[in-house]
Amino acid sequence: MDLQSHYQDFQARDSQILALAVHNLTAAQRVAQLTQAPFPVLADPDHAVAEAYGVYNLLGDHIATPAVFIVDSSGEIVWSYVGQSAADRPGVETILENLPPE
Amino acid sequence: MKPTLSTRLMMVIWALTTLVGLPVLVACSPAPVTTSPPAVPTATPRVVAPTSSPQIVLPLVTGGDATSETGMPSALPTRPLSVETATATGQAVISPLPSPTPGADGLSPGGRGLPPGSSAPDFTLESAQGGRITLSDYRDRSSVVLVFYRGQT
Repeated sequence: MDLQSHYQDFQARDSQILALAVHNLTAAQRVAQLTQAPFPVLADPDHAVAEAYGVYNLLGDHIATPAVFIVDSSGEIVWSYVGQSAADRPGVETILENLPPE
Repeated sequence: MKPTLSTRLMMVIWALTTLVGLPVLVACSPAPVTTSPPAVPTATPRVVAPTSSPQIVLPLVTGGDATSETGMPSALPTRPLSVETATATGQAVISPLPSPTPGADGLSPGGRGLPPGSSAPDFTLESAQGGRITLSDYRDRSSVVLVFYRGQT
């Protein structure tokens, strides 16, 4: 899931990417450095947000399942992809196709 | 030799007569060849015999209908069928069971995440790039893509 190199495509669609990691801030900063993410990488140390979205510990490993939620301007989830394994992620093209029309 | 042959002939004829009946004797006797037409009446009783066998077949058919009416043949296949149906139902019940199992292992109540149509829970989290980010601050944008990372990827 190479979101970094497709970031402009999301910007062109007026879409904001927010990455979340079930880590403390230090670990999240390491992730942001490694991925050179041009979008915010948020730390969810107590996995409260992952739990709220129902993706925490789905694979029994006490971290978030790889998942993508598209939230429209009204705050409603319009599309989601919840991975069934650690490597199960949607393609960038799939995410772009499911962005709501501007 | 001739007496022997005739004797044997006589014995054969006698045996045939005893077993089958008079018509054989009449048919075998060389002189009354004209009596071979009477052999036709002999065929008539033979016809009667075959006629009787179809009569036997008919009651058999009637018996088969009777058994079907009783429901005996239908009851027999129904039982194995019901067993197969029960087996299929058991498999169908078993197959859904594994899917709830991973959900039961997880601590999240949803199991498969919040479904589309539900409102996205708002949050405020610290950003690795500095500052705090609140989801609802992006309402002016067309959409927000939330990506849950795993580990250090």
